[in-house]
Amino acid sequence: MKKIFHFGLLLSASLFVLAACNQKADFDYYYYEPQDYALLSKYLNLPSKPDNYATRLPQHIAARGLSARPVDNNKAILGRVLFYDKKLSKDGKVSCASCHKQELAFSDDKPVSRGVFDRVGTRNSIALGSVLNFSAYYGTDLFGPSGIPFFWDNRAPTASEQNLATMANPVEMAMSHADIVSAVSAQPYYAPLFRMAYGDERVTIERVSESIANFVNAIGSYRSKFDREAERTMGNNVWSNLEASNFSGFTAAENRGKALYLQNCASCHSQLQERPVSLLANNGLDATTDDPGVGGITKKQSEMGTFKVPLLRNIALTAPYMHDGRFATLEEVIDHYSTGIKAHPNLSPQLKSGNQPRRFNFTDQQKSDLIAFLHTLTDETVLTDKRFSNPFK
Amino acid sequence: MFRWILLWLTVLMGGACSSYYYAPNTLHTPHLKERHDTQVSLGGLTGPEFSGFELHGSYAVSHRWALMANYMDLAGGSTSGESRGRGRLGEGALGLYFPLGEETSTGLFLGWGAGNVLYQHEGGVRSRLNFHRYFGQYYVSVERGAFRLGTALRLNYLQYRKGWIDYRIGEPHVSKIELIEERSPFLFPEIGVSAGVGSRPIWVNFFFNVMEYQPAEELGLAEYTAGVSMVFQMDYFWRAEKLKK
Repeated sequence: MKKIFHFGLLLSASLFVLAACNQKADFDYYYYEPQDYALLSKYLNLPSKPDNYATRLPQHIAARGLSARPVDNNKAILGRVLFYDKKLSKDGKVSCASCHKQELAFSDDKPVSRGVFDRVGTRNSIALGSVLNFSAYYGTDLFGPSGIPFFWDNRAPTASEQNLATMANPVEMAMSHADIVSAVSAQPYYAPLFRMAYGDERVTIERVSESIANFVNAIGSYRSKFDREAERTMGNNVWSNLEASNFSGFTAAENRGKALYLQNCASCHSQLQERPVSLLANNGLDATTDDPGVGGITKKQSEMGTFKVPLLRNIALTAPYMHDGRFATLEEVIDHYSTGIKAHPNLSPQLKSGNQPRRFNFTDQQKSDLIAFLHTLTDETVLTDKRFSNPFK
Repeated sequence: MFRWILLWLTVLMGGACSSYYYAPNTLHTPHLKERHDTQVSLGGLTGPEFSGFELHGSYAVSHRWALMANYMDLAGGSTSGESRGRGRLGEGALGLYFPLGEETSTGLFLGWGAGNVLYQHEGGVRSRLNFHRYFGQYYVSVERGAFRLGTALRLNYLQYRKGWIDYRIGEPHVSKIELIEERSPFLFPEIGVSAGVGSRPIWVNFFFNVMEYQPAEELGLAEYTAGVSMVFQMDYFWRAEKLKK
């Protein structure tokens, strides 16, 4: 009897220990008041705990002293909803996301986008997939603390000013600031979001633009094949000779394309795609000034016909190309640089040979190598990252 | 030791603001010698930024087997009063005890307990974590004249089960909890020492309990508790009663 008792005890203890093994903690996180979350969930697919929008730039970029602009998660969540909300446009059919589609790295596939009432814009929608890189900063650097300016004509120093101008643009969203405030105030789902972001429900245009800026500033494409290889190969060595070192994870064509890119393109678009080297340039699309670009804002003759120099991250996804979307494919873009540069009076010095437009005269092999390299700049993760997706049901 | 002194100083200087999601309860060392030996104790317990009370009972059901039950209830909060927390643990154990001569007793217990830690932060936002703890404890207790000494080694398997966390509790609390969720369950040892004075049937016991898990501080696991308790050998009373009869 005693033996059975002891055996029973041992058996119970063993079962007890077995039952205890490998059970993981399962915590439920709440962020909103239950009634707030119920209200939000009627309209939106937001997670019950806030997404984290903080970004760690890859080491090969961080080692150069750049850091991602700080993002407030609450404001970025509010910004995400505003970014996708069509009620912020005059006809209720256009949101920021209408011209900045996530699946296209936040660009548009039309030469020029269409705004409210199907009005046709004048310039190609800039890809926001690397705004994080535009807004990455050195703290106080030669471009000033605000980072790279926005719009093709660089007229907005910050993402806040950019989105305010877009909302007010009669072609794009055609909403006055007062219209925006009343449209946002009218939607029940914004009250809890403003409370989380600002402590109260008061809607102001400054809060709206700041929130969108927080969201947009967090959109970054830094997990491309190029980034992975650069981080692995370069690490902290900011002086690493990129041209000399082939990336072991690249194909031969990609490595040849990398070398070509570094020799011919990086002096404007940057070696590591961390931020453009030049803020503006004329790239010889036309011999005369059709669109004044930056010059239209600064009124400087020397800047007439110049435009923002974009980063080439996700370039394979953001066709059509150039400020007016005139090139449908990367092949056309490379053909332009190869043999098509025009002698504009403000043509960028990098694109000149003496006083004449430079002819790169890429061979077919070189063109295809360059394109192979440009495809390595695609970050697939940003295309499906839920943090940046449409939250509306 | 230096770190504990620093922690104490932090509390004394009024800088308390951490949250803790586990604290070692006392490693009791019941001085069991024969069947029907019974010990109960009631004590005060303190740790970094919290304090509370403990109840303990142990009973020798046979000349080898014994039962033990413990309950711990702790409360704490920031010195500014913005947040306050409460942690509870109840547990039971079954064990074997071995008297070694007149003065010494040793034993081995296997037990299970459940507990929770509830925090309420500024604005009424809360977090609550529930956990189970499985443990094996070996102890030695020596009683000589008016003095008692005890030491115990406990191996814990601490398993957080469910949690309800309002994200607005903010940092660093959220990070601690997320780390707990990620790393749970925890396997770690604890050591306890106790020293008591008195005479049968009442003793005053001082004790100190230390746990070892790194990085305990990052996870909000309190590394030590200390306290004092009144220990009653209840068997003395009913045996005395029996003798009278």
